[in-house]
Amino acid sequence: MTKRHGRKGRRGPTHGVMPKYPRGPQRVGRPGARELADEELVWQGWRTMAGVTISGFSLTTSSEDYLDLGDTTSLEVHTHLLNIEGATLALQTASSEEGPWESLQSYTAATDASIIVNSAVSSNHELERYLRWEITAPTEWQATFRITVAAPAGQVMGGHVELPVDPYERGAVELAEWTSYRVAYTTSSTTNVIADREDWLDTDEMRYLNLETEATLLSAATLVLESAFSEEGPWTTIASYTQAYTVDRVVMSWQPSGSVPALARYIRWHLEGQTGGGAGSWEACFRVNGKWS
Amino acid sequence: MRPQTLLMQRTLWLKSDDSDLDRYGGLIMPEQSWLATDGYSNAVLLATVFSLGDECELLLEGTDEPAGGWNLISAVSSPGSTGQITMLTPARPRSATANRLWRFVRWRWAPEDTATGTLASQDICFKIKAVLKP
Repeated sequence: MTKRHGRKGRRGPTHGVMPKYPRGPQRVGRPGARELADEELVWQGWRTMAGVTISGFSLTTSSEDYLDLGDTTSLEVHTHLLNIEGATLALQTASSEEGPWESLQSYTAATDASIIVNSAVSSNHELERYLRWEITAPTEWQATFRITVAAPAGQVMGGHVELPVDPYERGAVELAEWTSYRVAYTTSSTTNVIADREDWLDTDEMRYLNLETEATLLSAATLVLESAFSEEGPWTTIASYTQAYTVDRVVMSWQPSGSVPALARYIRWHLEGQTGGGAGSWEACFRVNGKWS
Repeated sequence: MRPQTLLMQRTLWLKSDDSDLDRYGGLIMPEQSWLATDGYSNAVLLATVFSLGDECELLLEGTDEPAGGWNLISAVSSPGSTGQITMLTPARPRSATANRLWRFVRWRWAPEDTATGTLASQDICFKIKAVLKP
């Protein structure tokens, strides 16, 4: 199944780990959503992210993944931090999505810790409406973490929780949400990795497509964006990146002109790992956002 | 029921620090993401391990009772970009556990030496695809 866009009646993902689609902030307290009283919500699933030294670097939760706590008054936030090097992971809260964001707690070492946030003004961890995480890293960094939320022990949360997967017809999508690879190779092995077929972008009915790539780590690897008019190829390179930290934008149109290339039917990414010179490994951490009309 | 191909686990890179993480006894796939096979009679699991630390392994486990009694389906202890395929079918006899299609399937990242090992300073990068057939 390829991601299809611009069609009414498109079916949503059939499995929780299938590609995520644009959605509003994750809400706690929306009527009709799931009760959270007896279950733990995985707000941020296991993830390893890494990057090179960039002055003033910080990375936050995508805005659509902010946790919207609605009228919830108390919440336990559990951070499983398996590894962190050269970075600080902070939990932040704000009254509006635009901020200002205030730090609730920050971590600089591996931990398995909970904080209870609530709406009481006197609380050490005063809860506002939105929650997000932020990584700040003044040097080369790496972090492996997971964050869950639940009603505090002995309490029933005054609300519900929902992980919406909203249908949409036009807008923006992540061709690749934050994706991290570490791939070991020997002198005889091939180590290229191609995006899963389910994650290819089907541009049928798009007129323009704007791809924005952000790569925080490309170590002995090249990130290639490529397109094709049929699934079988041939695949043509749209852009390739070898340098982290990289932020780049490519615009394609169904009516190509000048420096604007033709928008082919399928778009995907692949990683070309370096080989040779003995056994080793390559690493990559990147995301690719798409916006179209 | 129709055949389904699922990304049971999207590519995941995990790395532990050098502290003693023995308390984890391995890292288990979150319960919310366990693969449920109700209504299907055959399954194929394709685990691709891109990178794996020297002292750890990736285990695929199954059970009919999620509260406990997990059974080893397959263990991967060295990386291989071509993946490892495991076929799961109805058990004959029903008491057999080898390659049995369990109601729930999950992964566990665990020390290779379960007696003395820890996950300290280990890493893994892997993905798992599942094909379910009625």
